[in-house]
Amino acid sequence: MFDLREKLGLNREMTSENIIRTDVFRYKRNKLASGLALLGLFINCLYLMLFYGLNYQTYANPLIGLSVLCNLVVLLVTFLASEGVKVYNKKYCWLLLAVAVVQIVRIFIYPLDIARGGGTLFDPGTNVISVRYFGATLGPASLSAILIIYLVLSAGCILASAVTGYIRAVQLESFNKGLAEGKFTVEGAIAEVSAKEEAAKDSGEVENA
Amino acid sequence: MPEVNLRHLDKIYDGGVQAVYDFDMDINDGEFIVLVGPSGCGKSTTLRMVAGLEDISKGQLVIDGKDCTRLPPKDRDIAMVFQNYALYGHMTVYENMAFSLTLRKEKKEIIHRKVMAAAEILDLKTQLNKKPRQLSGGQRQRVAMGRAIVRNPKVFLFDEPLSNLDAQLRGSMRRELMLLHKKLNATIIYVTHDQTEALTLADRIVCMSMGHVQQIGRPIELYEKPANTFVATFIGLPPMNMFDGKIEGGRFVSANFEYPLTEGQRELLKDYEGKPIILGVRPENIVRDGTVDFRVENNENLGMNTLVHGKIGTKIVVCKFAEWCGYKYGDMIKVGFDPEKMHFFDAETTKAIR
Repeated sequence: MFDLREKLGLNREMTSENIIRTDVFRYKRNKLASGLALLGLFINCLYLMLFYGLNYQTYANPLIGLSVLCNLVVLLVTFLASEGVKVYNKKYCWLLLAVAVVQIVRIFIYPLDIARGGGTLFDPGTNVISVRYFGATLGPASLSAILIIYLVLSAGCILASAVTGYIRAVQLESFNKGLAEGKFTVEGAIAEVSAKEEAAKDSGEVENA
Repeated sequence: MPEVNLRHLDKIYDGGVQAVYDFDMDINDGEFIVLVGPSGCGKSTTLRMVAGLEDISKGQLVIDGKDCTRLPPKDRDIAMVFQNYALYGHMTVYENMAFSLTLRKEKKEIIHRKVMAAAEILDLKTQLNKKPRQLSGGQRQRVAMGRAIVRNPKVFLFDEPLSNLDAQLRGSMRRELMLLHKKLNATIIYVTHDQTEALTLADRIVCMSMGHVQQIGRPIELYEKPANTFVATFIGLPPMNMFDGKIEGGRFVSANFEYPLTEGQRELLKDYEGKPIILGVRPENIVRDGTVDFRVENNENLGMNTLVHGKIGTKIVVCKFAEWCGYKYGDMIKVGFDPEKMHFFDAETTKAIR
């Protein structure tokens, strides 16, 4: 039967190799999860740089204030959570998950409105959507496509960060528990792996001889 | 562990200054070699030539049968520990120790095992998550050593690694280094200006002065059979007392005293009759029983022995007596020299007469 927890490595058996692999977490920070979160944050910056490059009259309504606020919250929360997941704190993974959901939801607000040529959030009759981006003038279709790509990428990175962070945090938690209960020792695991390697080396030498 | 052959190495800097002259020695597997000498004698330059941090002007360096004379440092498979530790301040102890292996793109599990093994050897397991600034000097130096150990290099090079530590810590680190050498059975080249480190750690000592090798030998050889007056005065604390004089009628005659020679000494010095020679006597080989007048200037009671400073005639002399002494300034005592421990040097060449 398909077991997602097993596939994700949340229920893995504590073999010597896995013990050594997890013991590394005690001495190294979760730079993968933290890096992914920061990458998501960086992509979000690209999004807001493009979005606020629009003609200021395009979305000259109170909703733009909410957009600014939303960006600030996303930036702040993502940064804080990136620091949290770095030290294998499970709680911050849920926070990152929430940020990823927010990023997905944001696709359906401005980018979708721009894709439709306006009408929901601004009057299409009075404004023409266009923006200068890397020397080219973007129209509504390409602009919305790029904004959507940025948000999807940002959400993807943050989601990946949350998942990675959660998996490793759970693995470390169960490792620490096993260690405290005396189910295994790191020294024993290292000795076992070294012995296996020595045996493999010896048998290899015999074969070569 | 490999052999290291240093064949007639010279170091001449661009300005024409020669720092090392004809350094020639073979270092055996697992040997602990200490280069010792005063500042500017060329010991660190020699070590840096082995490391590849200085070009070799002349000569050949062979490590494990491979000519490394022109090889860049990274390809020599050696690890160097510096006096100032050279740790990365933003990395934890674990990351510092794992860094070289990470650069080699080794598997995380292998890196972890090597780091943990080194941490176990160096008793650093509880410090692995700390940053270098949170550690004491001794612990930092151990991290620097750990960083070298994890690489499992052919040769370890230590450039005055204990110089930044206080006396007590230096003592304990010396013991740790000895144990480390026993555990790893590694080939080590160690530079120091501290003769205590040299005498306690080395399998063989290379004593250097002004870029020249003065003597290579086991610590006891350098101590008991110094090749020249430099080695005689450099090795040993307090240094050997040296008396200028000459041989006349089977006696050593100096401006301040005369001393009878044994049959063996007379035979040894028969070619020096009437010629100037130097007599060397270590402070601990001066006995309170003899014919030479010694005027006490001050006592240094060190607990298990006493250093008595004073003069024989006008010559300043230090004696080391095994007992606690209560001499006062101006006291006159009679001293003599242990005949088996008297050293004679040619006054012209400064070489030992044997």
